[in-house]
Amino acid sequence: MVRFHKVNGVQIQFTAEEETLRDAEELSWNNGAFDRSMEELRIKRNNLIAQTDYLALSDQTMTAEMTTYRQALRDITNGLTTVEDVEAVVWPEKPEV
Amino acid sequence: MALTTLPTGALADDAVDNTKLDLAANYAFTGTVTGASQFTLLSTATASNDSTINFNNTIITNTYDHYMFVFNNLRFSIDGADIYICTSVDNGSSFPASHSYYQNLFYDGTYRISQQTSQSCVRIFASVDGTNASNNGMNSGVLHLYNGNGSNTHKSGHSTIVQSNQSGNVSANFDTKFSLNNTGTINYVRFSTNNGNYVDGTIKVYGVS
Repeated sequence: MVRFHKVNGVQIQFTAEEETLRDAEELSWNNGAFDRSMEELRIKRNNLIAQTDYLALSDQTMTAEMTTYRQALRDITNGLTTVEDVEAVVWPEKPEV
Repeated sequence: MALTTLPTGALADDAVDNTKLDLAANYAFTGTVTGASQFTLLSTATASNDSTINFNNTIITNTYDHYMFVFNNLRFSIDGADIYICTSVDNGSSFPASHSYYQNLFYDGTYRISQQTSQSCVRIFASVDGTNASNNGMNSGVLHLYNGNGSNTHKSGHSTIVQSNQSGNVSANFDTKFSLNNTGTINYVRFSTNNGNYVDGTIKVYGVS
């Protein structure tokens, strides 16, 4: 694939060296797709867990449903090996507090 | 003799009688604005499947200590690729690895904060795939670059980018602050990505005085 820089509105074709470097950069990016999707999943999972952390304080009583919900969030990364697996994740429903 | 000022009361009369002051006509302003900032449009780059978009030392000169880049409805060929600004003090021959930045990203209900040092480019946002019919998103925003023409190391900038998804709803917000630790004069700016192309949309660069 031919690539271009646009400099002051004018297209300039990549040199062969630039094409090689860019191919390597894109390959690296593509190879990191699963790690990126897992990172996004963990960010969302951690945020959802944090939203119910206050229920784990010593002056609170956590319901069995909430305990199950939080454990399901912790386990949500289990068995995921592909980007498609991550995209197909079904998030547990948060129980009423 | 032509009048250069309106006598007291004349404006009210003329506003009623437009045979003296035609309120529907176009008038050229020939005076000089003083005491106010001016934005001078220096260049407009229209993306057309470009891997990078650049402004060289005929645009980025030492005339201004403040440049403003306006991104309007940029679309990308790849979803989730990183979009960067890279500055150079040798007209694009190299990009010094002395940029540092931090970024706030709000996406999917969650803030993410990242920080990097010793970078040759600064990540300003991530693309949303504009060519996928089911994910026809766009990115717009503004980036300010300060003191690029200075001789000290305090060259800095910040950007705010909003990303809308295929439904036109906000998808992600990126706020980035960065600096370049280099005494050279910035005379080249590159906007790049680590995958895919800038499909369409515009980047305008203004000099601010």
